[in-house]
Amino acid sequence: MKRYDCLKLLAPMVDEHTFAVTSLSTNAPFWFNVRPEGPNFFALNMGLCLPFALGLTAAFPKRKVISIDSDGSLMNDASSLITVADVNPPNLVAFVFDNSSYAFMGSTFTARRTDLAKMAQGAGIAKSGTVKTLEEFSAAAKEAIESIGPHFIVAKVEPDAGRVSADRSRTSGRPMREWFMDAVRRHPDYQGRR
Amino acid sequence: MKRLDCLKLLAPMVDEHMLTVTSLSSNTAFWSDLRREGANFFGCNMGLCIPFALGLTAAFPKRKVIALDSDGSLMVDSSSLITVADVNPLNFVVIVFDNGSYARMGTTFTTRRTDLEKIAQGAGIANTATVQSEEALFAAVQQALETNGPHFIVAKVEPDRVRVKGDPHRTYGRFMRECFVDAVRRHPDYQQARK
Repeated sequence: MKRYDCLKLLAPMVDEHTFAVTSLSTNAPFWFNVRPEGPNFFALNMGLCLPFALGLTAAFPKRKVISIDSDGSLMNDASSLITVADVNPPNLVAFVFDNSSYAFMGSTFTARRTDLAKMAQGAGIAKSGTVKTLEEFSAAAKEAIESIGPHFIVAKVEPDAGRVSADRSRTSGRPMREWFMDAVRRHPDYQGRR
Repeated sequence: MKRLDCLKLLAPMVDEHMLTVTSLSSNTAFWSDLRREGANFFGCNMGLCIPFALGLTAAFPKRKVIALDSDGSLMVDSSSLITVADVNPLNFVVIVFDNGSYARMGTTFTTRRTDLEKIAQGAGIANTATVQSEEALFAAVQQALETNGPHFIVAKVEPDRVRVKGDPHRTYGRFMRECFVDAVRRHPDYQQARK
């Protein structure tokens, strides 16, 4: 299963008011290519994707928030799973694309003994599972987006061959954050100053 | 089950050449009274008890290293369990005293949905246990000390009613660290650094 194919399947399931947060590296350019518009926050540093998405679930309780994380990033702060379980946000859908490798730095722990879905269950996220095929991914994503969460879905994907680039001014740094803030301010649920 | 009773049970099981590391607060105060000699590092800050002990397992591969951690501390950095599972140190025994509360700040996640043993299993540690009685703890620790690890034991204890203070010189700061380093230098396995 390839990460890009999963994200291509996911993009049409996500409506224009749904929030998406991605981790660094491959997730950010891929997701930008499949969903350039809408409230997207790209390329959170390692360990910060899930916590950032958790904050958004509290700010926008009526909208789904989708966290597009990866194994290396999640394992930087596995404790965030405990916080997610405890806050228990019904609108959070957390995907982890587990390619069992750091971008250019060899394999991660999930290639050996670590099972992220089991860790999430231990943390207390009841709706937690692993998918290995596109059909399973599509079914799990659809079910998660339509039902009450929090959901935690580990998608086992191949290591990405080659590095993908996207418009960096839209996927990192200050311009990206400004795009995100603009999208938040235009969001129908936004309660802050306009 | 009370933490102090557990530690009293544990103290005679630990021989003079094993190394122990404790988390802050009650574990430190209790353990410093029970095991006055030997290589003890007391009062690792929250999240640092297991990682510090993991380092010692590499430095003293022939001795058991015992981490006396607590639930609040472990959950600051539960990623450390992943590292433990991956390094897979045979001589490592982790005992987490889970009282379901931060010292004076209310309950922790383990009183609600979180199951530390299951997190450790998910991380990849094969030998795990949760014990609710002193007999079960004794059996689990005995087994852990006699067999290859890593072992991860969660002991469910009551919140500590009284706050105990150990001798601050021996449990905190530079003097504690010097006592620890002295004990390490006197350890029969210590390999002196050469220049």
